[in-house]
Amino acid sequence: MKKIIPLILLAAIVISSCSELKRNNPYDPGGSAYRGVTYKGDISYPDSTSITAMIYNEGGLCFGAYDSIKGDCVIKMAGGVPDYIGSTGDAPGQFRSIQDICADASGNIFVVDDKNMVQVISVSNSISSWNLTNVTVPANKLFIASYGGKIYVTSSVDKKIFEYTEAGIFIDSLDLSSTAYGPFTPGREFVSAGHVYVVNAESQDQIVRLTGGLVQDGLFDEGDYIYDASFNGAQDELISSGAVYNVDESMVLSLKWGNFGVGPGIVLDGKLIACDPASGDTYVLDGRTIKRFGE
Amino acid sequence: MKKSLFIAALMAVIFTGAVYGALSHNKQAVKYYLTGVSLYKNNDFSGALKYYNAAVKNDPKFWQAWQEIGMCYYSMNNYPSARKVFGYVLKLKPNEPVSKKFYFLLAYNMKKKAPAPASMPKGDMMWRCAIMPGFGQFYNGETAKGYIYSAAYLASLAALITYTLNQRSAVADYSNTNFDFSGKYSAAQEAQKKVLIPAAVAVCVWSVSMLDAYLSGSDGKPAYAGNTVEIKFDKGVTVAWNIARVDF
Repeated sequence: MKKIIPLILLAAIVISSCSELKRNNPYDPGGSAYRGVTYKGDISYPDSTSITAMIYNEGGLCFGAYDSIKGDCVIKMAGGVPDYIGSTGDAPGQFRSIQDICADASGNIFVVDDKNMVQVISVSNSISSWNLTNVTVPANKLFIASYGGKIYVTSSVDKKIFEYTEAGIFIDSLDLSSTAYGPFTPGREFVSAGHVYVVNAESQDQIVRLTGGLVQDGLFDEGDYIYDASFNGAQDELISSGAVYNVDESMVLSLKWGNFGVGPGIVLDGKLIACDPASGDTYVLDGRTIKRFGE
Repeated sequence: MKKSLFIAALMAVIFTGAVYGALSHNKQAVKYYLTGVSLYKNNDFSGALKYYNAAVKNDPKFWQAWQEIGMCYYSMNNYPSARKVFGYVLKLKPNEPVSKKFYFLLAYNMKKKAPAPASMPKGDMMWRCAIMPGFGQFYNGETAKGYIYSAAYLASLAALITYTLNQRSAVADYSNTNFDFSGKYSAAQEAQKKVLIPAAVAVCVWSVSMLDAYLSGSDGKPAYAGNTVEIKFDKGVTVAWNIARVDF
């Protein structure tokens, strides 16, 4: 017995020294601990483009962007080939420093820049516009969202959210200059199945929830800087600089991802997020790279 | 052969010890010596050796007794010890003809028919091999085998350590990745399989070394090995140390 002790020790050393191999990587679709999100590769877009707003619309990504060749424009990426709409300028059909874009259920894209107007790009790429009534000029910090057939615009100058019809008829506004947490500057907007949310543009961690008719019915402190958000058909996905938070309507966290592992599937410099409700895929602008995630 | 040996021993006695006074001035030594002679005549070599040893213990310069010790070893086929003793006699009494004859005769015979080296006890060999394959073979004087076993074992251990580190790295690579999961998991599986190869080789080398030690080792105490000659006196005092230190 004494003589086989070294053999047993050798086996024990080998077994204990080897790391246990289990297919339990949380990002691995084939693993036992899969969390339902995995990195699916990068999405290419023109190198000359700087993206300021990103949505998923009509089967592809759409950017509000400045392109060093084309100027300020909206870019539709459906089909993988960029379709540049608009140019730099102050006239209708032209853009200057696009702040935000959104799309309605029909696929029309609504654009706000540093002008006091909303420009509407139809599915066939024709451009129309309407003025933002009751919004102080110049309204240099505008964000826009479409929900329930209405357009919601926030103004950091007025510290209000404005409600319009899709044709540009003013309906109502709501003062959001302060909340229970203190001063509030309305910033980026996002929607869910039943609500419109407004992020505090200053602190970026406080979120006001509104029901239809501009009634505030929720206030949340996320504890992280929220730069953008998108509704994936089931949940809202909030992006911070280093992670994505999947939350329900009450901002209750169900999954934090994008912060795991080593490789291209990690979010290091998250800026914008867009979701394809049909497939559930999520697109994250990380630095200058658009990363695609999904099940 | 036995008869000629007896004649040679008798001649040694006649030539060297016939004259009582010429043997030794130590009466007790002579008494032991003569008892040894009588036992030798009856082919009781180990008994005779015991008394001759007692004689040289009483008188270390008693070369005739030393010479008979040499004859006893010779009769017991312990040629290396016999030759050492005859050499010692020649140191005490240079050119002593009988010792000289046997000394050179043994040199010739040992060269012609070198006895196979005796093995170490298998127990001693095996525990050494259990600790480190090849160690037991070195202990038994099997240098080549010792090098082979130890080199093979150390090489397999080195490979085992290397492959173990690679396995750990591959598993960490899979666990921390966020892309190419199948590829990295397969790589980790391959790395895990590779660890088993040097582990199996190490176990085989260890086992073969142990088996070899078991087969090569002897069952009893170690016989003559190297320069040690065991000569015991009545009280268990050995003069082997003295003989081993003699420079011929």
